[in-house]
Amino acid sequence: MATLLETRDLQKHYQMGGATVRALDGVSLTVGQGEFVGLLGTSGSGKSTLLNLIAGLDRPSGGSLRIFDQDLAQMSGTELSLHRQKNVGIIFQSFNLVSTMSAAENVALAMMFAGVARGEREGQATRLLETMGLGGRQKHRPRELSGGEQQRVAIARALSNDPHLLLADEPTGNLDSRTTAEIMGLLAQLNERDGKTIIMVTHDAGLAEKYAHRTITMLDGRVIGEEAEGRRPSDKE
Amino acid sequence: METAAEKGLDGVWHPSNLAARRCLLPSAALISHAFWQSRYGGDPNILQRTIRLGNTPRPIVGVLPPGFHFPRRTDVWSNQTTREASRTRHAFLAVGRLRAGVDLESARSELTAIGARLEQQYPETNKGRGVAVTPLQDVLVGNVRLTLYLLWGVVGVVLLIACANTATLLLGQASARTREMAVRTALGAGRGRIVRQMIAESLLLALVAGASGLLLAAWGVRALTAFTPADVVRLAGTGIDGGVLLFTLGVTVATSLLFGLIPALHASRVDLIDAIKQGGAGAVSGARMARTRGLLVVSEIALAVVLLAGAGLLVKSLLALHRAALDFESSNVLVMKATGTRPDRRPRMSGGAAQVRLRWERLCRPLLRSARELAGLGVDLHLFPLLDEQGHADLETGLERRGFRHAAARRVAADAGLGRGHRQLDVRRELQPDRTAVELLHLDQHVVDEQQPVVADHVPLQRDGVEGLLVHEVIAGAVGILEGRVDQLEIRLRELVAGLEGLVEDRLGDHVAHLDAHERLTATGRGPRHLDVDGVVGRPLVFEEHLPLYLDCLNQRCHSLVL
Repeated sequence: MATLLETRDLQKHYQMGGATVRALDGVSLTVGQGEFVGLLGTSGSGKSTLLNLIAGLDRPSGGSLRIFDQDLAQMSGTELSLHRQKNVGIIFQSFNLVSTMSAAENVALAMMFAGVARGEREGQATRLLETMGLGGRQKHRPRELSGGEQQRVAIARALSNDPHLLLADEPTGNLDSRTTAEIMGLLAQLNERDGKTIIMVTHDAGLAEKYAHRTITMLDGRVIGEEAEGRRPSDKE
Repeated sequence: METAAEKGLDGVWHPSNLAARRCLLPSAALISHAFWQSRYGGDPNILQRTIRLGNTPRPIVGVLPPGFHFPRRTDVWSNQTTREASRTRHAFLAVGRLRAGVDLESARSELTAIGARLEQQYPETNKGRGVAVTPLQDVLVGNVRLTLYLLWGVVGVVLLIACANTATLLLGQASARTREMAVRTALGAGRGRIVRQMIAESLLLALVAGASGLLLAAWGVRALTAFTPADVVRLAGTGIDGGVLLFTLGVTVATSLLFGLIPALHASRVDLIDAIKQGGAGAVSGARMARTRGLLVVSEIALAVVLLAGAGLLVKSLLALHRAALDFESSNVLVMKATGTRPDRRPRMSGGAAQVRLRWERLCRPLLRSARELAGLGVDLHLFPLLDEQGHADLETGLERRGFRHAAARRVAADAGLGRGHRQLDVRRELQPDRTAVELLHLDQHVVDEQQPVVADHVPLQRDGVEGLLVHEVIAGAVGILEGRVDQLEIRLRELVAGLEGLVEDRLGDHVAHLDAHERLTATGRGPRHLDVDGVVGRPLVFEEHLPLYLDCLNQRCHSLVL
């Protein structure tokens, strides 16, 4: 399995008043292509910080973070924007759809930033929403959709530029158990069928163990455990 | 002569029409658009009609465009030739266009040289006289330029306040949309794209506002011009044209860029992680926004205070102007004036001053009697003969010849008894004694005897509030103390003028061909403007209401001001 992501002694420090908070304190890990990794840990363990660094939403304070052999720590602002457009799709816990836009427009938004032509992105948005089972909800605005439907739209948006890596930050944190199962099934399908690499932050160890190939447990900004007892990764790679 | 009508020109004729320009032969006349409308009801066959000026019928060869007021609110323009032998007429205003390639300084120096040569050649009449060359624009708008700049400044400050207000609102909106901007950034939007988006939204808002402003201006310009004094230069030309559209577009784009940039930059600097998690502005960004908002609000308040202070000072100045001591009681003083005949048609009277005075008294007594009968007014009348014993009416040379000086003018005015017994006209004005004297000299320009003006009749005030009626230059005007209602008096005076008009024509025949009211008095827009085919009569004014007009008259040395 080819390596998609590799961190070495990754550091992220914040200044809070006079004190230095070490959100990440020397994280080293690798993620292979097509892998489904669950990041486990208590609140404040650093898992979301790690996800934000991988997404290019933040910059590391030290160490290295390489995706497709590119060091994110060395990237300019514009290069990080391109990284977010092309390499990663982000799924948020609270969906973060633009409330004034329809489902189709939300999906097309990321493609617009990537410079995809209008007709092409509209077609792609329609296809993705149909794939997510939202064929008849394209014109609906977020407030007209249920939580599960909104998260499906968010997943479709994350997939719109066909990234290799999906980053999901508590994707089912705001959903009921039935919808959680649906969304997790969808993510598993994307991993299995389309070969998307997925890194999912979750509190729920059971969920991670059920759907992820591997779980990484963090505490106080460090990796304290790594298990590969979950679902077996597909052997596409 | 081939008139415009004979040439088959139909409808309104403009002087820009070269073919018609050639038709402006001696004895032709042009009329103003307002006169065409009010006097002839906008008759489309106006070019087939004539107008009597003096006792000469003149074909109307054109109607000037609406709003053409030069000089001032002229209604009829006609050709005039001066007496070749006369070197004493210095009151003419000449207007010319500089030839291409000739600048103002060259023209000025050339005309100054000509003036100097004439002065040398004709020392009797031209001594101390030169030529003043002034751009026509300065003559037309010189008085209002400062006011316009002031207005411009005020509008600019109001615009700044509006912009600061909008920027504050946009900042608030940007704060509310922080999460959206963070999501857009997380999806790959660069900072430049976020800034462009915000500016585009700001521009759209400004364009809608600009379009609304233009719409409002289109509706409001007519109302505003109706409220504006009619003698404002090129008032009728006020409107929305290409220049206004371009200016509005420029201001719209500039302000939207300038004031849209602040919220746009703030929106592009959001703390991504915090904004996505919390949906808020983020601590750092929020504090920065609050600071900027505070700055904008403070600027807004400061500008508003400046504006309010300026407006307050303006109002204070206006009040001070209203309360300024004029050295005479202006309340309820009524002014009306109608001027008389063409100089060359004025009745000539020969003989000494006493004979002239006698003749004039004989002429004017029936007028006064009729006036009283017509209006039912008790009037205090003072008559002044029109011309000197040679029949000359030239103001300045006439006065100089008679050795008129300020003191004499004051004596004349005092002898005229303006306001005598009820209001005291104090001619010892301290502020501008020379100017006052000039006005008074103008008032009495046709007094024959500098020592003692002729008092033809004197009837004490009886009723209806008019104390005095000053008649000069055959039918000239009235200055009285109004104690009744002005509208009642206006009706009476209108009847009076109409009656006098007929009487004068009856008595003087061709010598009095028309009445011509002082144009400024007709500028009020109220009351009938035209009473007779050949006459223009203004409504009476109350000084209290028209103090600015009076001051304006003073400033412009308006020779027909009666007081």
